[in-house]
Amino acid sequence: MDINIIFKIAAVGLITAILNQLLKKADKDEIATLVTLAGLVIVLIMIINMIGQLFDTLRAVFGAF
Amino acid sequence: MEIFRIAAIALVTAFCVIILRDVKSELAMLVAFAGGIIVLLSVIDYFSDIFSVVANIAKRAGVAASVVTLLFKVIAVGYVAEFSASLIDDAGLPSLADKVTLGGKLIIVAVSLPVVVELFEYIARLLS
Repeated sequence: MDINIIFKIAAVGLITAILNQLLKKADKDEIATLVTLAGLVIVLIMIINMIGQLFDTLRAVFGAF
Repeated sequence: MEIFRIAAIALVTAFCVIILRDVKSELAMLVAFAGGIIVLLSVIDYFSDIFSVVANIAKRAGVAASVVTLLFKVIAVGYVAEFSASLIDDAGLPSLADKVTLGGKLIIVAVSLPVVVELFEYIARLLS
């Protein structure tokens, strides 16, 4: 659990944004929205895993008392 | 020192959020979420140290164990409520953040009612 997760998410964000622009210029708008959605889903899954880990740790720490 | 690590992570997260906002990506807010979670996870083990010390002191002072566990439960609820409320506020939804805070307060009051009742009974017994 370190800084590389932030870089991973930022990278996914950048790539999806750039692909979005590219696809818009090549007037393939529907694919652009699909790419954005795909990036969003990937990042959401990562975030949800992290939130799950955080709440498990919280329960472990607070549950013990 | 731990504080430098936290500061570094927070600064990098802020930097990434600025870049992503500039590129108009929706993931900027999610990077902020991730940064917040990482900082929390890095300091979470201090909690258990603090709690073990407090629990020992409370035991030596003769405080009932139930009160101490209740105290920690209230701290946990407050901590989680404040964490999510501030994240939601960052995402630009202050009304939702207020509702989360309200929910947290209600839970805390509901959880701490038995102790209040116990206190009143104790006082009543003293006066009678």
